Amino acid sequence: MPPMVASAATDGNFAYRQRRDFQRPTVLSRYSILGFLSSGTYGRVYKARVRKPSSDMSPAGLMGTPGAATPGKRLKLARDDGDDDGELVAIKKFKPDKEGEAVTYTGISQSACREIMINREISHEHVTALREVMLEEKSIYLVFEYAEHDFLQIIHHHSSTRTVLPVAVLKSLLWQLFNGVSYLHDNWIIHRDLKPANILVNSAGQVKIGDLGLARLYQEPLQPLYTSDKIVVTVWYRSPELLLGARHYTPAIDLWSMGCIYGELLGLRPMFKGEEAKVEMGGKKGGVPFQRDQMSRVVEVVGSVDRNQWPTVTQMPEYNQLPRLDRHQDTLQQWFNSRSRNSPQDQAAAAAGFDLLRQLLIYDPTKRITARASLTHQWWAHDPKPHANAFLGLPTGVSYPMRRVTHDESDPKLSSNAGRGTFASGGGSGVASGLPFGGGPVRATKRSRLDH
Amino acid sequence: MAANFYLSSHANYHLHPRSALVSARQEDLKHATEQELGWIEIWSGSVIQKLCKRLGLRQQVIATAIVFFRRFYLRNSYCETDCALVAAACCYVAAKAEETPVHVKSAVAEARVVFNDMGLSSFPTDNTKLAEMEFYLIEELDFHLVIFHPYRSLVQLCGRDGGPTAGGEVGKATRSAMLEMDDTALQMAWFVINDTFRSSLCLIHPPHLIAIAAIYLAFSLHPPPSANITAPPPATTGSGPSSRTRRQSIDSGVPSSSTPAAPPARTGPPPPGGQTDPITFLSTLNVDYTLVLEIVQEVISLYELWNALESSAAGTAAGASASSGGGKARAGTAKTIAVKTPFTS
Ligand SMILES: Nc1ncnc2c1ncn2[C@@H]1O[C@H](COP(=O)(O)OP(=O)(O)OP(=O)(O)O)[C@@H](O)[C@H]1O
Ligand SMILES: [Mg+2]
Repeated sequence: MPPMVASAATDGNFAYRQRRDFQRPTVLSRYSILGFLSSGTYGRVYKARVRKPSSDMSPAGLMGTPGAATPGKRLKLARDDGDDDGELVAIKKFKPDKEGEAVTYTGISQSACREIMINREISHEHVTALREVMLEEKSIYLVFEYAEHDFLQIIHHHSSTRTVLPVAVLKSLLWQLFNGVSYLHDNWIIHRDLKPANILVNSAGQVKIGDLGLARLYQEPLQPLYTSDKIVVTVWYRSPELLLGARHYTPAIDLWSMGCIYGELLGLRPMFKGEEAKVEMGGKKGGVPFQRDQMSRVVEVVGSVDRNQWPTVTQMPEYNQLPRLDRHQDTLQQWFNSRSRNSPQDQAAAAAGFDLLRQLLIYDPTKRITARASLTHQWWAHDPKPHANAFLGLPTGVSYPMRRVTHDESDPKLSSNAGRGTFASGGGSGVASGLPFGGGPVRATKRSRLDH
Repeated sequence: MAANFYLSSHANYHLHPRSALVSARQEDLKHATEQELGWIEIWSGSVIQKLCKRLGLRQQVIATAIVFFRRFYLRNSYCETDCALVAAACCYVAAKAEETPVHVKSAVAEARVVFNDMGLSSFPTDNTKLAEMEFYLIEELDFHLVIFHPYRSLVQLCGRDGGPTAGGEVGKATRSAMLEMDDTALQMAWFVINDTFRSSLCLIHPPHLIAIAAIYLAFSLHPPPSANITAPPPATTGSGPSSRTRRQSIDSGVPSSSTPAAPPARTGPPPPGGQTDPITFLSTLNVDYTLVLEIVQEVISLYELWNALESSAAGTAAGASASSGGGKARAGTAKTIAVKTPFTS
């Protein structure tokens, strides 16, 4: 496909675009790419370092090395690669769409749009900060502050080394997470994809909630949330009301996910690890299946759903599925006791810790604890107290591994460090995920690959 | 942000002094008169409304699209860009930002219809052109896509926002009193707000002040039966709503039995008792009434400009006119104002 050739005569915006294109700095003029961290159908996440702004003022810059204001020319990048003073960032590149081989504009995805829209309005110490948005070669780049760890990686570290996650660390991580989620909810934002992989932690032990690609503002929606997105939240972290097909839901869905995450930090494996039923296109109800196995996993621990405790459950679209599940007692207390690592003399603290888990995993969303209320839960007052640096609770000498950075020479963004100035098209497909281990089930709304 | 206007990008980066609006038009003024530029504002509002309606988008999306358009042209000149493509991109992005997205194909197809009807046959057939414009547009907007509108302020001020607020701990604002507005008055205020988007008021004033000005204008048209007042609160002199405002009631199909209220002439203290009567209520709000009056004045000038546009359109049948219907502009048969009540949302 030939590039779009337009003349000013037929294209009223030709001069406008030229002017803007000229003003736009390139990604590589601002950041040096160190490798990629993750790659999925949505695109790629790169690890990068901020270039020192002074480089433009260097003799080389004065002598004509193009700076930020002169894109299009090639940059000599290798010079900066050894520079390790610059701040680290994670650059999320949304793959451009392709028509055959040619990269083309087909419109920004709703997911990218949300991530941009919401991140540009918020600022909180426990939400990953978006430094800037860049546009280049028909792709969008979101530049985030870098976070070296995430909950999934921390959980994996302890499970693979057969060590416990110290209560002090667990509690600090949770406390900071609750703070971040409270902030989101106070601002009418539901995250809708809380899970360990999306909760990042930087090297200073600060929790940074990430991935707002499914998040949305829910104040006075123009249409019910269900209408826009039939499936939200990765299945293991999906609340009972969502599993039962609720058309209207609230921030309480995030609190359920937090209960699952709390449980996973305790047990070091997913608390409700259901098999995801595949979406059948053309099936009934628009192809959204009942997640029977997931619901069963929940019921096995939390007990069969009791209509008296959740009166409106009878109005749920999938309510009639419930009697078909095996009946179970509520065994959450036993589940907790066998995983709780409080010493016997800490009975009060353990009871408080259990109470929070219990309140997060209440079936009735209207009775589930809110994020705000969870911040004043009595558990936090017990020792060990949560700390702003979660890693202070780690035994001396223990630290979590750094993110694995992958190099892929077929990726133009990486090879470009050796001399090319701009990204070409996506490339590098077929490269294995940068994650060292499986990331869990896939959420249907953002990806098409089903990998379990 | 979403819970607090004052922390939003809208409040912190996108309200400007009037002088900024003037300097944004420097280049255009070499090619057109001030009045003609005013007409472009009216025209662009109409075009965006038409396109959004064809795409089945709601009033709030229309408003967002128009704010995007205004922000874009605060940094660019009409004469150096393709306004039609920009307008279409604004609708397309606004639909996403308001979580009721439309397909790029439909946006292009409907835009072609709208612009063809106006005799602009040059709108691209190529979807990628619109998608490309989207890129440039969001960059021009500094990637700030959350917009606050006076509609929400309006329904909040009169306590009609009792919708689902489950879970939002800060959702319930602390209100001491609620303004009592009958449906007709509320609808009037809603229409006035629609009209304000034919101007650049959204670039200057915060949405709640525009809402209060709209309430003021609505009560001037339909004084509440309960209130024993004849004048709105800020007792400066100056014109009350002009005949143009009255036209509003004719346009929107709301029967108007009253003549417009007399110019503000209230002296003395506000009427005692009745804590929800409009005048007392408005005067208890902690806002700068000189600003409210300024907005009222602006809306009135807008109506005058709009009248002039319609008479000239009726005279010349100019294709680029905002007026979609012929007839006597004075009688107000020209434009259909978005008739969408706030209650059916
Ligand atoms: N700020 C960051 N710092 C470090 N790594 C990050 C950062 N943001 C994202 N990553 C890495 O990239 C991965 C994918 O990012 P993100 O979750 O935002 O994208 P996604 O579209 O949801 O992808 P996925 O569907 O795989 O979750 C993360 O799981 C993490 O490994
Ligand atoms: Mg993710």
